Amino acid sequence: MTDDEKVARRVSQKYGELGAEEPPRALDEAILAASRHAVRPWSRRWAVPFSIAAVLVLSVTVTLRMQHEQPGIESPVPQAKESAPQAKEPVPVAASAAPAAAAEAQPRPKAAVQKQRPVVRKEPEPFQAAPQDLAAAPLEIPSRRDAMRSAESSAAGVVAGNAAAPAMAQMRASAAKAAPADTPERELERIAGLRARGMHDEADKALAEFRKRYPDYKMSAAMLERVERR
Amino acid sequence: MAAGDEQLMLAYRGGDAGAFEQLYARHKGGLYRFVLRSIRDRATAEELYQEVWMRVIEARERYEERAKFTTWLYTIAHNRLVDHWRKRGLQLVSLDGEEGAAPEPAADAGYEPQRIAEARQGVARFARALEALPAAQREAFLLHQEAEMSVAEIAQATGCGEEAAKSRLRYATAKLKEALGDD
Repeated sequence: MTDDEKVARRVSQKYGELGAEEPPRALDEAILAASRHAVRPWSRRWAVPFSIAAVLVLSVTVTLRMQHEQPGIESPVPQAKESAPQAKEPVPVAASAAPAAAAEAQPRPKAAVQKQRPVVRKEPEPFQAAPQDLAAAPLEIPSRRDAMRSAESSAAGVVAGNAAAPAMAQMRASAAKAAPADTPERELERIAGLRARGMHDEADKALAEFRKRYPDYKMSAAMLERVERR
Repeated sequence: MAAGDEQLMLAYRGGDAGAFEQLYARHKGGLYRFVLRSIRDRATAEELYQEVWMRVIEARERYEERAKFTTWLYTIAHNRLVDHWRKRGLQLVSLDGEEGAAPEPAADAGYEPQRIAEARQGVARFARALEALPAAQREAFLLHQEAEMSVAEIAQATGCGEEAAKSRLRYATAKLKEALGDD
C-alpha cells in the first residue's frame, strides 16, 4: 500500500466517524408514498384512456343491441305474429286473378312467414298469369280487351305505387304487334305510308277514321311520330 | 442474487413500487449525507434531498440504462445543489453555527473520558475541515465516500473532466489529512 493510499484510508476512517446520519422517518414515508402514488394502476395516467375505451365499448354495445332488437330484421318470432294476417290479405285478390296461385298460397302460411315479406312475394302471381292471357287474346275484340284491362288495373292496384303500369303498356304493344291482318297496326302502317309519301290530307283523314274506330287504342310514341302531321 | 440498481429502476419504471423501495433503502443514507454535508442548513438539505427523489420519480419514464443508477442519481443531486448555490449567489456557508456541531463519535466502553474528549475534538476538527473545503473539492470527496464513485464517475456526475475530478479529490484528501493531526 502506498503512502497516498494509507492517507486516503485514514481520511476515510475519520470521515466514517462523523456518523451515518439518516433522513427522518417522515421524509422517508413522504417520498415512498409519492413513489407508490406515481405508479398506482388507476392513477391519473390511465383515467382518460380508460374513459375513452369505456365510452367506445358502451356505444358499440348499444348499437349492436338496437340492431338486434329492431323488429322485422333479425327477430322472426314477433314478425310471425304481425305478418300472419298480412299474408292472408292478398289471397282474395290472388284467388280472383289466379286461383291456382291462391290455392298455393293458402296451405303454406308458415313458409310465407319464414320467408320475409310474404305479401310482396305473392303479388307477382296475377301478373305472371296475365301475359299468357294477353298472348292468347285477340286484341280486336274490344270487350275482351276491356276485360283484360280491368284485370290489369285490378292487379296493378295490388302493387303499391303502380310500379307495373309501364310494363303492362309494353305487353299490350307486343301483343298488338302479334295480331293478324286487318289489325289497327296494319291500318296505322298504311297511314304512315301515306304520310311518308307526302299525302298528308289522306293521311289525316285516315288517322281521324282510325281514332273513331279504335278510340281506346294507344299508339306508341314512335308510331305517333310516323302517322301524325308535323 | 439481489437485483442491480438499474434493474430495479427499470422495474419501477414498469410500475413496480417495491423496486423503488429497495432502491431507496440502498441509497437514502448516502444521498442524505451527501446533501446534508454539502449544505449547512439541515432544513434546506432535507428539502433538496426530497426534491432529488421526486425528480427520480418523475423522470422514471425517461430513465434508460445508459449509466449506473448511482451516477444518474448523484447527477440529479449535483444539479439541484448547483441550482441552490446559484440562488444564493454562489456563496458557500461558513463553518460556524449550530449545524456545524460534530456528532458524537463512536466510543468504546473502555475509553477514558479524556480520550473521549480528544476523539470528539478530532472529529469536530475533521468536520470543520470538510466544511472548509471548496465546494467542488468537497463534492468530489463526498461522492467518493458516500456513493463510492471512481474518479471517472465523479467526472461524469459533476460534468467535469477526469483530470479535474482527480485533482479535486486529491486536494480534498490532502487538506483533510492535515485535519487528522496526530490522532
